Amino acid sequence: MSRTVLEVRGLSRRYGALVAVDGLSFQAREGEILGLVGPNGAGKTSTLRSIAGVLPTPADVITVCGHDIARDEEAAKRCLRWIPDDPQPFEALTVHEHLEFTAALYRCADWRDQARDLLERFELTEKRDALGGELSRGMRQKLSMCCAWLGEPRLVLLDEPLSGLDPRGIRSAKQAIVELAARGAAVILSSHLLELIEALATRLLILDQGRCVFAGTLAEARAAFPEQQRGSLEEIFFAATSKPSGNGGAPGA
Amino acid sequence: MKHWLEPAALLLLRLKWRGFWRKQWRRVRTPSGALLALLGGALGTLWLASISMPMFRRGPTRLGADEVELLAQAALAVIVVITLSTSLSFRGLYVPATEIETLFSAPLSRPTLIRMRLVVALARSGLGACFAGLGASRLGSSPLYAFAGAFTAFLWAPILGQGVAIALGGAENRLAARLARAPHRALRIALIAGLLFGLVGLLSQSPDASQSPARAPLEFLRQVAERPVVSALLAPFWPWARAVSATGPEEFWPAFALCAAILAATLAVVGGLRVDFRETALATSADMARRLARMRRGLGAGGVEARRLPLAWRTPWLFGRGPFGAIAFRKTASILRRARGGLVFGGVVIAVLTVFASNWSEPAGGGMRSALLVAAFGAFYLSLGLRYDFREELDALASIRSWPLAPWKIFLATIAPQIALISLLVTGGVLLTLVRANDLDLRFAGLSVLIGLLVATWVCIDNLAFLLAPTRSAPGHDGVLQHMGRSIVLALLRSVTMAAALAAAAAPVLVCVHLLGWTMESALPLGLVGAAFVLCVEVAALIAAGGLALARFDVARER
Repeated sequence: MSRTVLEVRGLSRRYGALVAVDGLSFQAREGEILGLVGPNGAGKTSTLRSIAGVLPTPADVITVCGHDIARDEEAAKRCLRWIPDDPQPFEALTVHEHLEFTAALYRCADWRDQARDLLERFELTEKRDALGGELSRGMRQKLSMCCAWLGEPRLVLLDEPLSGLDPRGIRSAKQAIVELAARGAAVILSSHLLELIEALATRLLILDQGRCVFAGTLAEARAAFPEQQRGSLEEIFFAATSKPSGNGGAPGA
Repeated sequence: MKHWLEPAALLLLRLKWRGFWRKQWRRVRTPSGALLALLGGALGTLWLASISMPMFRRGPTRLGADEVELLAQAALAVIVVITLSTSLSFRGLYVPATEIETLFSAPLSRPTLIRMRLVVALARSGLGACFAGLGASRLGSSPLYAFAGAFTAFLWAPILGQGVAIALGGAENRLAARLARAPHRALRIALIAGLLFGLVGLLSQSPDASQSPARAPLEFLRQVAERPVVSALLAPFWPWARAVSATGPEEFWPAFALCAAILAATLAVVGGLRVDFRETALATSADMARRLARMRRGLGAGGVEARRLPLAWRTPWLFGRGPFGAIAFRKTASILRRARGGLVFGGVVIAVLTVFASNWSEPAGGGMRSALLVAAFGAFYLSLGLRYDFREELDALASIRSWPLAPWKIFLATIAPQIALISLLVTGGVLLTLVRANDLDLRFAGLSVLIGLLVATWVCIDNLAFLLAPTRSAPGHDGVLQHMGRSIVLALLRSVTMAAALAAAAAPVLVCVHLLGWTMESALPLGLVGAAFVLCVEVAALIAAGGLALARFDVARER
């Protein structure tokens, strides 16, 4: 049985009067790709930023690899990698120096060979000496993936990871995500590209107005929404998010 | 033993430092980059030399050690107040928006993040501290001691400011944000108001006539400093002041050791603060990123945000409802929604100029003289101060060029609201001046036309130069030297072009007076009509050139 890598219990997040995340609870296990979907303002990014430790959370709410992100922040962060929707590299550092810094940050031993392989995989070998400030959006995305894949991350949080990538880059990224999960990492994938989630995610978490309206596999989703027995994730998504909020959504919620 | 700075943080700082120099090197590898850097560097060196030469070539200081000490104490107090006031505008720790997600999700402790910031602050204030040291070295009995004292003081002040900002940011986390932000503002206002009142208080005391002019201000300062409250406020700055004013090693070394110890202790305390600054840092970072983005888009030094106007206000379509009018309307709306501060500033400038010019001119027949003064200074000053032109359109030029209108019309429509605004303000000032002097006649109409044409000439030249060399600099941008050099070249080019345009406009009058032998009075009416005609031709030519520059503008060019 795979172990729990991430546990979220009753996560809430407010911005003034706006409740962005409202008592959200879920788990992510080793080897799992958890697809996080929801309309704009559903609380996906706030959830990911809270897990990444960018936003503060109270104790006993988020645990990463057994470390409470509030109490044992550095140990928890050492297990995870976070790629925001528009990753910003350090402007004056070269692509290779980003990997050098990441290796030092996460204490990765013997990282050079892996870095070379990653640069090759994400087609950045020729950009090795390019500065962060010179990279296009797609290149930035690829560089952030190289940095996230370096070492053996246990939990990877991806917010719209395919934006800006060319078709070849999209294929490489998809493959890399699947392989990462196959090596035992838990991946949380937030995207509006429902085909991507449908193709990669082993489990779904549908959010609406900061609440979980469905959690489970695609098959469970089809069962939970009987009218969508043969429906795609897109149809399930619309069915799940068009329900009045506050009723707990589908049975999986 | 645990490191003061974690190895990964140290590596990042080292890589960033290397990256900084690498970028500078890449910039000077091109001939134009090298030339502009040379120009900028030469200007900077000249300025530095003007400060530092007296340090090496001067005789003994005319001020006594006590006076230098008092002066240094007061100067340091002012610097600390300004630094604290600046620091209070950053709530918590300022981390650039491009780095905040990476650094906050990295396994780095919060004290490490603070220490990284402190190292950067020390490196940044190092250059300023050098300048301050050079300045102080002109005052002290020993240039070296004075330099060292001022240098440490200028390193310490930003660290103190950062510590105060973090501590207040922590308080904000504990209290409700709205409750805690009020003290920030109140403190800033109190600090600045205290400083201003202090200065006004000092200046308002009339000097003793028996004192020499140079020593009189120092005497005031001494009298003020003898008051118990002021004395208590200045007391903490004594070690630095003593180091600056030291006359021998026995005075300098104890004071300097104390300064170094205070700096080290402040670094240790601030670097060890256990405050969760994430909330405030994220807010500050987002605020600053928005402001910088607006500044980089050319929206003025303050990066003012657009605000909604009251519903009753309607932005006027000044130039009709066609495509030309639509472009001008867009600009007018931008000015009205974003530049209310600028408009008030423009109004105040014109009001002050009007009052000043009216008082300055002679009572009899001085109306036109005052009006000319208002017109000349107003047009010059407002044209430089109120810029709502292509500078704020650089990022939108790709779409602007696709608009279905001839480039020269787009050029004109974009600058027309600015020309109209400045001309209106200046003409209003001229009208007021003439009415006050009871000197209003037909000449006002002629002057108004000339004002409009002069403003149009300058705005056209200014925007043409910008479209030909579209560069802007904002905090955080690289290539300061190149930018300085480029600014000098462009300012010279603009001034020379404007001077040539004015000379051509003045030619008809000069021809009448010097070649045809007319008197100035008889030559003036025809000369002014000629000048207006020449200016019209020039403006038309500049608009055509502006359209050409816009059509040939390479939106993909790196700036």
